[in-house]
Amino acid sequence: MNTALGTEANATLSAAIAGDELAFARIVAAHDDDMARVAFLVCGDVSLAHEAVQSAWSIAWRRIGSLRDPERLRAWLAAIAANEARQLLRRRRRRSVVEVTVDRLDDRWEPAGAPRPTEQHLDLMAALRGLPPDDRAIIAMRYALGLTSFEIAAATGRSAPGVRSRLARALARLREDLGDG
Amino acid sequence: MADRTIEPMDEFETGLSRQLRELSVVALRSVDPHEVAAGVVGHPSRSTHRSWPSGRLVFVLLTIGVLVALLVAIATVGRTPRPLPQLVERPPAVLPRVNPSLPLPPPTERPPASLPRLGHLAYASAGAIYVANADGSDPVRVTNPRTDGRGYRAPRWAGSVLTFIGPSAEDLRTTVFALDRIDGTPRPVGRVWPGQGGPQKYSPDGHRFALLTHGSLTLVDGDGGSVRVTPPPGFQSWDHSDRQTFAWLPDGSALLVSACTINDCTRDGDTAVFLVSGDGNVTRQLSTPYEPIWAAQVSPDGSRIAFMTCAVLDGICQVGDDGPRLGFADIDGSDRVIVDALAGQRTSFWGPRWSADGTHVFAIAGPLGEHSAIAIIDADGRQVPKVIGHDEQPLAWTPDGTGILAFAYEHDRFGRLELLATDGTEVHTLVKEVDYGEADLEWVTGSGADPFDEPAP
Repeated sequence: MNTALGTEANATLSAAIAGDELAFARIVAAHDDDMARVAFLVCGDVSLAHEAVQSAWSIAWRRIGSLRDPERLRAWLAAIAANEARQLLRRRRRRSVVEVTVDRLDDRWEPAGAPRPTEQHLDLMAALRGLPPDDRAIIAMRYALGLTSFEIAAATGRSAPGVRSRLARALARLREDLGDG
Repeated sequence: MADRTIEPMDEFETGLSRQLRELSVVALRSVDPHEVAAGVVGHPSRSTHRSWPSGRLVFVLLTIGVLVALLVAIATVGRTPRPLPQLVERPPAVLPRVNPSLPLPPPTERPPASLPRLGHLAYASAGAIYVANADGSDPVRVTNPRTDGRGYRAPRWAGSVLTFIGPSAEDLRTTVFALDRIDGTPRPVGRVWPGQGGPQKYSPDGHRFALLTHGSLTLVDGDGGSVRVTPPPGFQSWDHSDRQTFAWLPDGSALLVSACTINDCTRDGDTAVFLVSGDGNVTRQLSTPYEPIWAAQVSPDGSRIAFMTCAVLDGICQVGDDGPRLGFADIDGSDRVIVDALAGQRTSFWGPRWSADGTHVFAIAGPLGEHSAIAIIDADGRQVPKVIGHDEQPLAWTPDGTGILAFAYEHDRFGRLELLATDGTEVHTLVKEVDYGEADLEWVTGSGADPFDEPAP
């Protein structure tokens, strides 16, 4: 990380930990897209993803004091978003609400005129739904956010070799489902 | 800095990364982050007119939490365990015998002198299951070539019985298979729901089989009888997250397993560990919620457990920024020793496993600089741990305790199985091209008990 940017990020995080709401708002502005991306890829539902992210920010606000290493902020937030998305998904399953299908997901792509998903996107979405939510979370953190196995491990309480194992298993299934190798 | 270690991607991974980013951009409508922030802490630009101040939010959340806790307590008081229902689907009454005249071929290559000859190991590669000699020679594919590639995985030994998970031939539903001889004819012994393989383990004596799927624990007898074990009062389900503790006592009399208080254990520390007897009764609670223990393993003599634990702050298990610790305790949960440092540095530990003689435990330790290592810790946890390896994932002790079977990371779909001498002097590559996630192997000795040679109790 650029030194000046790193110093600024440290200062922002320190201020947020001390209860500065403006500082926390800056963190939200910087990381909300990442959070939404991870939550969406875990739960496969846009509205559920936004709900999960909102809930995740509440948790982040309450627990940000436990974060000691500013460099881990992004991964830490992504892990919280993934966890909230998984929980919402489970709660929704317990209420026996039908899981969003690819067709229904396709219908939800709005507004009119906005870019629509390609066949590849829909195939990928269907393949992701074949993975357990934990695996979708790790896939999203690694490939949508570009986090390393060490960063994911530190944020999720796993070991780095364990993360790599899990990633590889999920990746093998995706390769198979998407017809690669 | 460990977090900045470059992990290159192959072509498929690069494409996947690009598509995932596109997909989420296409799918997600933009939401003004300032509105998000305002919803959490109050609107930052109007701090004198906050519609939802943080203190009030915390108060409301706490109030809701207390109310929910009260409702749960009221609902569980006086509840008696429900009778255990019989499962509709039963496995075969007796596992079919297969042709015993088809043993593994004798090794054609002599292992290096320093390698022990210790029976067979099993692994998954490209959706098929293989069994090889202990030195990795003479691999034999035990799954059907016509159905290989469908995703057979998670091989586990119990005595000479090999179990693994894969799709059934009829309807592709996820099924647990067992082989009591290695002849390429796996027989289904249980079924789990598609996409949810779940942990499954034979007892060390081979008389019982435990299956955990979707928070439901099922014990299957040698004669095919099965019982679904109800979680104790106050616990919602059996933990089916990857923090599950799932280990038989060495004599097969009981299973160590963790249960969830709420939310399928998605919150840190929402678990407690129980001993469940082989006939399905919950006999003992080893920990309480918010006194977290997970991944517990029982020592070979059944007297001690090694487990993962965490620091608890404000009732919350801190396992993110402050990684898990290694713990030792007596089987009743007393006499605890916590190991959380190497050379005076705070270090995290994962996945403890006992040596066959019960004198040591290995665990993944790290991160240490840019990699993790294998820590070897004495059984009472009081000596300084010894460290070997370089980012391998330890899987199993050799029965004589001189080596550790480990999985070595490679960048592509496969990795290597290696044998690391515990004194740190030697590393032997046993098998190449093993599926990443499917190397959680057991090492079976040639003299492993055959549970199907004698009638079930």
